[in-house]
Amino acid sequence: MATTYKKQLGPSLTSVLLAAEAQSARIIGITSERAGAGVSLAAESLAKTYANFGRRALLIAVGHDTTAQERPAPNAALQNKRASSLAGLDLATLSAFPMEHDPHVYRRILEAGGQDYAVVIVDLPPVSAKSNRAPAEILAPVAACDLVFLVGLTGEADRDSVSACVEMCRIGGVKLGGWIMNDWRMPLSKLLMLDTRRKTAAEPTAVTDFQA
Amino acid sequence: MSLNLETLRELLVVLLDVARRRWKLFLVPPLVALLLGSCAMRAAPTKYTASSLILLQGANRPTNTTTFQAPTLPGDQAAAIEAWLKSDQVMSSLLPALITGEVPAELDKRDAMIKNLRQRLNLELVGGSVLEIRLDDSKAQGLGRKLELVIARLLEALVGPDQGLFNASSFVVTTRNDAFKAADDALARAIAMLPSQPPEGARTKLRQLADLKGQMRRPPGSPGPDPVSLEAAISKLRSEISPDGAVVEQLEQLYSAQLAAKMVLDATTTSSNTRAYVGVFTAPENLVVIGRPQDPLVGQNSALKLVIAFFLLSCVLAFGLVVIVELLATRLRMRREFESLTDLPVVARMPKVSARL
Repeated sequence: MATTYKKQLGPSLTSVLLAAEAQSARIIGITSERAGAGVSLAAESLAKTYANFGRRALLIAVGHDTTAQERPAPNAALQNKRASSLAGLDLATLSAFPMEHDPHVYRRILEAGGQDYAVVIVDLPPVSAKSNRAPAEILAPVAACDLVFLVGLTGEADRDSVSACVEMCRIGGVKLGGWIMNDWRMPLSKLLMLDTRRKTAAEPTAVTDFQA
Repeated sequence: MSLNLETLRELLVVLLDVARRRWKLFLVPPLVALLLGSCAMRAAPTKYTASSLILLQGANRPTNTTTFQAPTLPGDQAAAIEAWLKSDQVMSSLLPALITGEVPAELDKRDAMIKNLRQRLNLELVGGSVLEIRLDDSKAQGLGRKLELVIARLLEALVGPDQGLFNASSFVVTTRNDAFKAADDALARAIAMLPSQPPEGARTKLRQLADLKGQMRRPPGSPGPDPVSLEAAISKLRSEISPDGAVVEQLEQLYSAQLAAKMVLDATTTSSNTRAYVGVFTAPENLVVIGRPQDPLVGQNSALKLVIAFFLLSCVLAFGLVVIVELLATRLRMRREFESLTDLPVVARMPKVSARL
């Protein structure tokens, strides 16, 4: 499985890893403008990329907890923290709390949960203007990250939704690192990966530095 | 260079994606066109064409030149031949042989048939020296024979002389002859109405009367019978022709007209027996018909061209529809679209993976 990953997605996502390293980001968020864009796949792949480079990574899946009715307790923590099958990669979940608009609450939880890890990858809910939640509530866990990458499903991402998502993130003070284009739906999508692969190969020094 | 290659690859992938998404829109118009086209082809009659070639080189071979010049027939002369062949006069003469059944008596129906025949008959100059003649029909049987009749009619005119073709002098003779005949017929009809008067006798008396009147117009003092005796002779002749003075007057006028027409006709030179055919060749008798026209074995569906055109049009329509739909679509497909819309770089691309990680 790891071989497949390295062969297929690893080289592509190395540039994300380098971009995050360049900005000294330790808590990296992945989100999109709509559900089903491939955020979980990107987050999981990125976390495995880190683990493959020998960096201990924690992958946190943030979901909306529909049963929670109150703000989180001061000592709220990550749930279901466990080790994955890949060495150096642990998994955890975090419920996004209703009515919680303060990014610092999430920041505190993420920092506390990820203090033993070199990098924390956060699989965030989509930032959608069409959501029935308040923008501040949606943005709170997003803004808690050091750097956030947006996943765009090529051929499906709607112009208006993308604009609204980026606009919301900017208003909410989210630090955006760039786009990860998910070409999963595109035919012959591996053709589009070639340049990224070559670009990665052209920068071996940076990768080596990162590994060191 | 790298950017260009990436853009080209992106365009290729985007085109494939468009084809994958819009294949129904691509296929439906041509399929509908094919369906309607097949129905139209079933309903449309099959058109058969018999054709034959007439080699003109032999007919136009230069005789007195030492250097060979490729003999050609100017296109406008070929057009003139076609115009003549398709004229009402020739078409009317060909019509009974070319249609099944009898020629209708009604003028409008006959005109319609001639128009139809004119459309079915085509002449085309091939390479300046070969005249291709084609005849279309809905039935193959007997079409070769019909074309043969048309060619025979054409060749009759080309090697001439032909009844319907005149040079300038023969045209004048013909018209003057017609005028004389008309005047003579009018005189004969008037004489026939005279009671107890043989036609030849009446004509003789009219001639004598004209002679006497000519003598009356002599200048005074010239030799000849005196006017009194001439008038008596004229009166006698008039009464012998008819007791009715008005009738004699009319006969005299008709005789004068006939005489004048005769004089005009006689005055016309009769040396007009020059060529009287479609004179564009130096040796029309050397025209070569390449193969006798045969009944066609294979017909062509008259709707085929229309169906092909309709199919191509539907393909263009399908392409246009897809372009319009794609222009109206607000989906993002290319790297530069993401970057220009959001001012954020695209840091990675995830291709389709074969297995979940």
